[in-house]
Amino acid sequence: MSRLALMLLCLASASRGQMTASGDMTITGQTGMGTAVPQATLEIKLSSADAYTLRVSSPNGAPLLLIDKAGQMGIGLVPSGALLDVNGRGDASDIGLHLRSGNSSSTVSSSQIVFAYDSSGTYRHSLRTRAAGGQNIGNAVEFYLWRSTGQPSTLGSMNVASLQASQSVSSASVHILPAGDPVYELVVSNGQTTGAGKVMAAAITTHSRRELKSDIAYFSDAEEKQAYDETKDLRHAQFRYKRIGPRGWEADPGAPMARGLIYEDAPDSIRSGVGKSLVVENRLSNLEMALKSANEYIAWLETKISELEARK
Amino acid sequence: MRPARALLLLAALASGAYAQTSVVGDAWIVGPVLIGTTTASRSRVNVAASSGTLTPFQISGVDLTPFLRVGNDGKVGLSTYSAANLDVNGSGDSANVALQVHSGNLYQSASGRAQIAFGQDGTTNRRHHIDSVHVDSTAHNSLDVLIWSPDAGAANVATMTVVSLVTISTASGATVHVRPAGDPVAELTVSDGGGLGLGTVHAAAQVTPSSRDWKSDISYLGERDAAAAFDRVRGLRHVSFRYGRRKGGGFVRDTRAPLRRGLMYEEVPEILRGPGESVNATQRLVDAEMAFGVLARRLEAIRKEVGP
Repeated sequence: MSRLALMLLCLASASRGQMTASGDMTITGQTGMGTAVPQATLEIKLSSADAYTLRVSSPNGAPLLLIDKAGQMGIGLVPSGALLDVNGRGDASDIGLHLRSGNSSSTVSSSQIVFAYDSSGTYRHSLRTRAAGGQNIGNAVEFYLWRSTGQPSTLGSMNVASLQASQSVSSASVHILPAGDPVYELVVSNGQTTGAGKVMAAAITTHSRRELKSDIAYFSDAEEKQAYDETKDLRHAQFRYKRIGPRGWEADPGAPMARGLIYEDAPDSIRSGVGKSLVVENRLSNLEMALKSANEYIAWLETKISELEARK
Repeated sequence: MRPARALLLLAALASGAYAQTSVVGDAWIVGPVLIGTTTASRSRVNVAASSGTLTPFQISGVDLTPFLRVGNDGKVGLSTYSAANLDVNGSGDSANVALQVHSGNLYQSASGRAQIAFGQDGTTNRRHHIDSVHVDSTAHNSLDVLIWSPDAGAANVATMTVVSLVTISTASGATVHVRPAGDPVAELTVSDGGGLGLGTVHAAAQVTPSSRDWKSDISYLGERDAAAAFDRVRGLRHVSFRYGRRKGGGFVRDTRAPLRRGLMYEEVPEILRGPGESVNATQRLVDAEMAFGVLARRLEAIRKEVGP
C-alpha cells in the first residue's frame, strides 16, 4: 500500500505530456514502455510506427545493440534478415561469438550450440566442446545428431564426428563415429571399435611426386625376394572386432566376421609405427614386388625346363 | 488491476526534473523513451551512451549478474562481461546449453534456412553457413556445412555442401558424407557432389586396426580358403569405365569423367562385396595376397620337381 500512499501524496497520478528528466532516474517497480500492463520488470512494447524496439547506441550514434520491429537483434549493426546478426571485422583478431559452456569431463553434457527443428524445439542436434589443461587428449569439438531412437524432446546423443587434439604425429585428428582414442589424422570408427568403420570412395590416392620425397632408395632384388617370402608367408585369419566397454575391450558376438591379418603375426615391413595397425600401401607394395619376383622365378623355371627338354 | 501499479513519474506539473528522479512504484510510459539523448530515432527505447559510460545498457539479476550487458565497446554479454562481439556465459558438465537456434529444416523441405551464417568482414558477403535438418526417423537427420563459392553470388549464402554429418539406418547409424550425393551407407562416404561414393581420398597411407587385442573369434584361414581365393582372383573380370553423372533419379553417361579401371559389383564374388553395391578393396587385397601364396607354393613345388 506504500506505493498507493506515495501516489496520493504526489497529487499527480500521471504525466500525459512530454516529460524530461535531465538527471538520473530510478524506478523501483515494474516499468512498461509502450504498455500499461508490463509482463516483466521491464517490458518494451512496440507501436506500429516504431522501427526499433530497443536501440542502444554509442556517443557518436553507432548502433551497439538493436532490436527491430520484427524481433531481429543486431549487435553492432542494423540486423539484415537474421534473427541474431553479430557484426565483426575480418582479419583483425576479432571474435564474433564466444560461448562458455565447454565441458571438462568426458560426459560432455553441456552444449555450446543446439540446433532445433523449427520453433517446436524438438529433434535437436548439437555442437559440444571438451577442454583439458596440460594435455592433448580431452580437447575436442564434437557433433551430436538426434535420431528416432531418442525422444523428440531429448537432445540427440549420437556422436557422429569429433575434431580432437590427439597424441598422433600431427597432434590432431578427425574421428568419425568415435570409439577410443585416435592416433591418426583421420580415424573412421563405428562407435564400437577404434578404426573399425568403413570408407566408401571411388579411389584412394597417395601423393607420389619425387619433389615431395627424400631419402629415396629403390628396393634391391634381395628386398623384392624378401617381399615375396613375406607375402607368401602371411597368415590370414577371420575374426570379429571387439568393442570398447567400461572395462576395456570386450568380445562383441554381434559384430560381423571380418577377414584380414593379425598385427602380431605380420612382418615389420607392413606394420605401422603407431597404433598396432597394418599399412595397406605397404601390403600392396609387397604384393607387387612379390609378383615381380614370381615372374622372374617363372622365367628361370621356363629356362630350366627348356634346358631339360633340350637334353632329352 | 494491482493497486501498487501506477504511473508515477513526476509530481506537480513540472516539465522537467533536473536532479535525480525516483519512482517508487511502477512506471508506465506510453510514448517513446529516449535515454541519454533527445533525438528521436523511431525507436520505442533509445539509449545513447555518453563518452564516460562504461556500460550503456544492462539488465541484471537479483545479485547484479549482468543477464544482458552492452559495453561501450559494442560487445554484448549474456550473463558475462563480454570478450567477444557476443559472449554467452554457461557452465560445463551440467547439461547447460549456451546458444539454441530454432531455424532447423524439415527433411526434404525446399525452403531451407541457414541456422548459423558466417559473413565476411562486417558484411553479409560470401557467407558460409551451417544448416540442420530434422525428421522423426532414424535416417536423414543432419548437420550440413556449406562453403561459399562464386557460383552462389557474392551477396548470397553458400550453396555448396562440403560435408554432411547425417544419420543413416544402416551400418553404425550415422556417417560423415563429404560432398554429399545420395544416401550414404559407410561411416565415411566420399562423394563428389554428383554421385554417391565417387569422390577420392588423398592420404599418405591407409591403415587397418590389427592388434590381436582388438579381435575375438580368430581362426586362421587354411589351404582350402587360399585355393578359393586363388580361384576368385583368377576369375575376376577387370574393366575400364567411366562413372556416370546423376541426373534426375538415375545416372547418365559423363564423357568428361576420367577413365578408371576396376570391377563390376554385379560380377564380383559375394565375399568381395561391400554395402551400397560397392566392392571392398581390403577384401580384394586379402584375396590377392592369399592367391599369391598359392601361386608361390606351386612355383616352388615345380622348382623342386625340376631340380637345382
